[in-house]
Amino acid sequence: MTNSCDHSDNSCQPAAESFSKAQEAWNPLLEVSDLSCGYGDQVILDKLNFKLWPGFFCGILGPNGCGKSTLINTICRVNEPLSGKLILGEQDLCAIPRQELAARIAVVPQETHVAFPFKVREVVAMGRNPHLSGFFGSGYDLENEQVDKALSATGISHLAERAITRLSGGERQLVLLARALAQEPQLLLLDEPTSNLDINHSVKILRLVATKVRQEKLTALSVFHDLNLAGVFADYLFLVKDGTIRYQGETREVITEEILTDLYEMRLTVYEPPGLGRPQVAVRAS
Amino acid sequence: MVVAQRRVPALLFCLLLLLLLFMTIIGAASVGAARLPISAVWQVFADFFSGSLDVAVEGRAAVVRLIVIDVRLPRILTALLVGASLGVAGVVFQGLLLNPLADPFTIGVSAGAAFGATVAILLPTFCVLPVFLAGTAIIPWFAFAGAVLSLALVYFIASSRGRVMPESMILAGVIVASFLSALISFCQSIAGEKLAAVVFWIMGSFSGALWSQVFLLLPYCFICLIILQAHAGALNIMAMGDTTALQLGVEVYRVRRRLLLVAAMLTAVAVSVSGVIGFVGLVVPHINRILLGPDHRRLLPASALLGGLVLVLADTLARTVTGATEIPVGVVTALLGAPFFCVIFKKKFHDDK
Repeated sequence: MTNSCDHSDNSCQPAAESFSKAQEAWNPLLEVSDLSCGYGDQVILDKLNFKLWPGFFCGILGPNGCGKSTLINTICRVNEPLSGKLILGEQDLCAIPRQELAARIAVVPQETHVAFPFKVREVVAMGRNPHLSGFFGSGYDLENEQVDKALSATGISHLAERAITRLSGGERQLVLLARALAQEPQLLLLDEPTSNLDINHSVKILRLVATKVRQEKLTALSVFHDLNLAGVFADYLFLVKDGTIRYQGETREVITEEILTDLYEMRLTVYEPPGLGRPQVAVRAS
Repeated sequence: MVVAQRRVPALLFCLLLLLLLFMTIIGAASVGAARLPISAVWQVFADFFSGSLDVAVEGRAAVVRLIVIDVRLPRILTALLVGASLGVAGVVFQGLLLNPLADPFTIGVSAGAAFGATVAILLPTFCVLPVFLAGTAIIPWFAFAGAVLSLALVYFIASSRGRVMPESMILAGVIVASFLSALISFCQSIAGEKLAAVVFWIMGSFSGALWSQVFLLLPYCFICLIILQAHAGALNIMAMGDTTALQLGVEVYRVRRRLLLVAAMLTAVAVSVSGVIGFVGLVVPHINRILLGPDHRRLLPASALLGGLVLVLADTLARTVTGATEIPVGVVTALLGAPFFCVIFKKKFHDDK
């Protein structure tokens, strides 16, 4: 899995103008209009409007508590939206039966804790649940081709028979990514997938997603905490603050000192390391 | 929770349990007030399986057949079905409520059944009953009604907007159970000479089991077990937490509601024919978790078999160990179950460290 997504290779980075071209040429996979989400009476995000296109890795940035995870949970319908419309493909997302929705949208969670000692293969096979049909409609098949594919794509085939409770945080996150891939989704949501991981595992996971996005025209939307990882991996960013999307645009357009200073209320230095072609962010100690 | 490092092959384990169960049934049918030789019992079973039970036999063979078929077998089968129900219900409650302490009685069903039975036992002393309500045959029906009513009450307290959270279900169960226990104590204090009957019923017994009961229990338990087994995969996914299960396409709230209901109804019928038999529903699932791992598709059938086996053994002890008088089977399961559970629990903790 070394350099499956080498950044000197253009296949991983769309040319600067391709995003706007794609926007004109293709239909969006997800179209969100006037979406308000929150819990009960509490509105956390108000009147959001945005679209997600296949083949692009989109990111969400914003300070803690701005509602990034709420947005992810609303799109996968763990929370029902308070108001507004979500159109997935041509369908109203809220009218899609949950099992069918899970065959189209998969989520890689932030929290990787698993209470029961299921084998890795069992956990990944649970991702096949949305594709099973039967009288009672829930379950999974351990000997599934997609399960093996997901295990090998994430490089964890050798862990297949291990109990997930005995793995490290980084390995567990790879298992959960494999489970999401086994769902064969059109839209992959990632809720700070790398927040508890070291840089090696973080990059490994994001490269895997980026490759899937490029090669299989997957649509990905990830919450980022690390600005530098967002700068390298995201094609398009939504910057959330005070309950709205304050800025959105291609990564190089929005990772600027002016915008980030406004977003995080502190001075940050943005620079572009030679040869990277992507913005990076530096902080000052004082 | 319990970590299985080396799992036992599930199919082998179940076949072994099945064999043990069959041997136990033969053994249990031969011991009792009248001791029957194993060969004679075996002959009855052979006749049964070859369909020649209709052929009349005479003398000693007829007596053996009468004791085995009419007296011991209904009791053994009732114990088997109740044990299987409690074992499976225990697995489901632990899996649904994500709590290792959950057992079929956690959610107050047993207290409801006990209260219903108490009312049924005491009713004749306070009012004249119509003929169809007279006699001890009404006790299971009252117990069942009590169990269902307490389940409805617990569910009503624990649910909000159609969703039931595991912790609120346990809390509501404990509250309802303590309220009903107080009511039962009150009834006992005014029970007079019926006190012994109430206490004995609550402690659990299979004496007086009839074929008619077995024929009622058998399809009921079978249907419940099939429904639960069909949701084994969903139970596994729900063990990953509500959010994950929703994201994997399981209608968590609907499935939880359905499974809680089925497992509670299974418990209700088990309690109503046998009284409150503790520990089977707690210990059996834990033993299987240690041996087989967390997969409900294996845990459910294995717990049905092990639960049945344990309760047939316990009931056989209950009716034979003290000779003429019987001890309540609930006493046997608690006396043997608690220390046994402590040992495996201690060992498991020791292994994990």
